Amino acid sequence: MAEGAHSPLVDALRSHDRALQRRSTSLAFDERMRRSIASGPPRRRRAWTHWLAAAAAVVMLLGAGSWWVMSNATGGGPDGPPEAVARFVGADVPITECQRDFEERVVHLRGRCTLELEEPGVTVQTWTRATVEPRRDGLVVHDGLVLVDVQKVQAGAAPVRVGVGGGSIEVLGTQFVIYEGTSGGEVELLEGAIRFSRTDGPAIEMEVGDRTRWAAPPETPELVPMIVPAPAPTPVPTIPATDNEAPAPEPAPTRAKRVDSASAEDLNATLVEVARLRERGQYHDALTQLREFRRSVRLPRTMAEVVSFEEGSLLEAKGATAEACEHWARHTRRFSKGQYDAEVQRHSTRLGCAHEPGGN
Amino acid sequence: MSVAHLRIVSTPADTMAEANDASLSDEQVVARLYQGHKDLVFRIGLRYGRGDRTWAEDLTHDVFIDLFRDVDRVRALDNPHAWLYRVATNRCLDRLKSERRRRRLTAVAGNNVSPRGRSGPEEILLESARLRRALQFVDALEPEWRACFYMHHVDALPQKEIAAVLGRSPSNICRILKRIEKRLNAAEREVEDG
Repeated sequence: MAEGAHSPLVDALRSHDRALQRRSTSLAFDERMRRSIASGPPRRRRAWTHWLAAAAAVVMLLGAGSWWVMSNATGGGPDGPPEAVARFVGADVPITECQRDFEERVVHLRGRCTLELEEPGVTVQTWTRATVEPRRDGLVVHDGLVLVDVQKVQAGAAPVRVGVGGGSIEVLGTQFVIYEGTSGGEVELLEGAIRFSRTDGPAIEMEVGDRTRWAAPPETPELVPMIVPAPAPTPVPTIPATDNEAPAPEPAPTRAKRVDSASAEDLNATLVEVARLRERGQYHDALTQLREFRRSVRLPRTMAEVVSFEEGSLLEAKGATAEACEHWARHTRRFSKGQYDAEVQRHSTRLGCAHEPGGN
Repeated sequence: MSVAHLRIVSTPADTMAEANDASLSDEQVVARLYQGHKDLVFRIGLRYGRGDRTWAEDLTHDVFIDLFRDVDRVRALDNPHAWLYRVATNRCLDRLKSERRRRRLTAVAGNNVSPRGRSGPEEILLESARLRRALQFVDALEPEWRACFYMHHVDALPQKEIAAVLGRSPSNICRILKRIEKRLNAAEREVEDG
């Protein structure tokens, strides 16, 4: 029996498998699993719920916990840092569960801590450790892993802002997870909606399940001003025009002039980004990215076929059946006897496309 | 205001010795196993689910929640890694057998199958095309054969271990692998012939 036959197909599968091994569960999924596991098996869930309700009632009877007021140790005046009023929930539970140290405006948390900021209505929870700085309009996460829950913001009220290394998060009544580390951080949205204003790029409107990362934070992360809510421009590879002499009329003057061939880096980067967007269910953005790339560069036939196939599959994933059918028909006319013939046929059949993709 | 639920925090994988601690509740045992081995199960799900995150997450959820059914046995395990590998693999096979689902080939573009050597566009396409054909080959294998293929060619497990995972005899596994080799050789010839 051959041991690990070194065939190109097997090598390709090994590469693919190695790529898959670099992925891990998302923060949102971990949170869902935590809840499921904490609930125990279904037959025991009812008993646990009753226990929890009883425990919660006991905590409430013991008191709401201690209050503390943070102020600038140097005696903040009008220009000093704002005060924040916060309390730790369940302060009568054993102190070993939550340890906190105060350092001027910053609080270092260790253990299972729940911190409520009454104004604005923000709850911060941490499991092992975190360093946060409550502020009048939100807080700054300096380090660690926190779960942030924000009470719905009333229309017209000032937004709640959470500062992180890579920018600031404007919150609209929402739950999300932030991780901030020495090499960077990430935020994952669990509920609601947020807008993330990056220090190194345009604002990002995030949807449930979205995850955004940033590079190593600056020395002192600052809340950045909220960016005017204009739609972020879709990034397009910057490709200089190669021909400035021939004033050939362009049907779409806003379209970038195509260069002769796409660079490998552009193609690879585009496909990777498209796949990431697809993975997050952002099919519209993935399509936009792909189409912008296709329009901005001149693709060899074989490459164009790959891009076209990807476009069709994104249309399907998006649920645009009619558009997908039309696309498959165009694809087949353009790339007859191509490498995806059989697959396109299957796609069309599965979608129930009216016209035969092989016919004209 | 509703207080948000606490969130599980990634902690270093606990050893089974810790999970065997009789003072731990069943929930704590399962939670620790999840923290220590979630990536293993998730990645097995990605492998058989062809990179589909939702598929892999569903699998991961089922595997760990089902641990509650047999927590006492789980507490007594010396090697939860191997046990979870077997459970996750078989659970994947069960799902594959009951589902008829075509995995998308173009999704692999985002998995950074980097071309070796110079990264010209044709190189990238060649790699993508090769991978697509490879995945087509794997897709055409019935689920158990697919598992044999991955365990043999990718995980390099000996036949005896493959047999243990799938609950079959080593000779049976040998026969399956031989048949896979035949199909693989035929597929390679097809690729060469264009």
